[in-house]
Amino acid sequence: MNALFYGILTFFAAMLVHLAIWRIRLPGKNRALVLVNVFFWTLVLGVITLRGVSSYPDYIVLYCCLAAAYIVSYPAMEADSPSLAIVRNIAKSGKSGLDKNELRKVMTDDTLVVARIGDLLSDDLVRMDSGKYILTSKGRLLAGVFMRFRGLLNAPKGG
Amino acid sequence: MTGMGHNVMYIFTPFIGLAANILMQIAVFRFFPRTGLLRSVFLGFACGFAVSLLIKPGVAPVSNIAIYILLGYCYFHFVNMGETARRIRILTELADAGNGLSLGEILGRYNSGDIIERRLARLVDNGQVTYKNGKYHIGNPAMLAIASALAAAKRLIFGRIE
Repeated sequence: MNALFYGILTFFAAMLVHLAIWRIRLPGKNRALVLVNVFFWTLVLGVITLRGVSSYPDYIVLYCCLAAAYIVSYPAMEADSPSLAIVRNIAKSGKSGLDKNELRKVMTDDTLVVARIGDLLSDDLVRMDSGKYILTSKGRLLAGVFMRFRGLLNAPKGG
Repeated sequence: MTGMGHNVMYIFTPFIGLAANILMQIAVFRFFPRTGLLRSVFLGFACGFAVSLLIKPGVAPVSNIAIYILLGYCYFHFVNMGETARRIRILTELADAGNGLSLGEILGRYNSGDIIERRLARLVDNGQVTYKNGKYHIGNPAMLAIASALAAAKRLIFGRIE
């Protein structure tokens, strides 16, 4: 229980630092990396300053899992999920319901695809060369992980 | 066993549970694809949870249970990214192409029309949205609640909805 309490306490401390940074000056590039740094340095500070922790391995693993769960959820908060946007638009239409063509008017290539290509460029996963988008080594690695995993599942391309 | 040795042993149990979760999920989806991705994730999670409890019955600390749930959540996100993330799909298209793609070529392979079609089909399949007389309606308000919760989180983090 002790490790659980201190793990959650340190996580909330990291969240406060994260909120303060994001509200004062939103990082322009590699926000996930900034987030990882916030969580890492808060943990270092926690390990140095917290004296009452009964089990440091439990405390560290629990904190890292809380941080990982938040970091994997973060992109969903940054980029609007198309499924949730569809649900919101259908809800707005009320009892009359929504036609697919009305969705197409508000959900365009620019908002759904081009904006995500912009994210890939700013995260250095893709670079532009002679009018073509090319994977960087980081992008190739990430694509490879997902392609192999989808292969294991015997599943077609997602998206 | 000493207290520290005991600690080092049981800290691994949620990870063994996660391994069981992953193996079960992959096996279920690969060999019984009609189960569906979401159901295979739930089955994998339940299997991993049972394994992590069975390793040391009766002495699963609360922190270990919390760690297993968090690991299961991270794995669910990983599976979900492969299934729905647009960035991953674009990276996959670029990897398949080999020599890069222009914007037009990317949009030829993956565009807003595909995204809307796929997601509407998924929402209707899961009962979150219903389709009647050529119009879509809310079927289950759970997704709407998630959308509202995310909007609130965005407001908290960014001070506005971007």
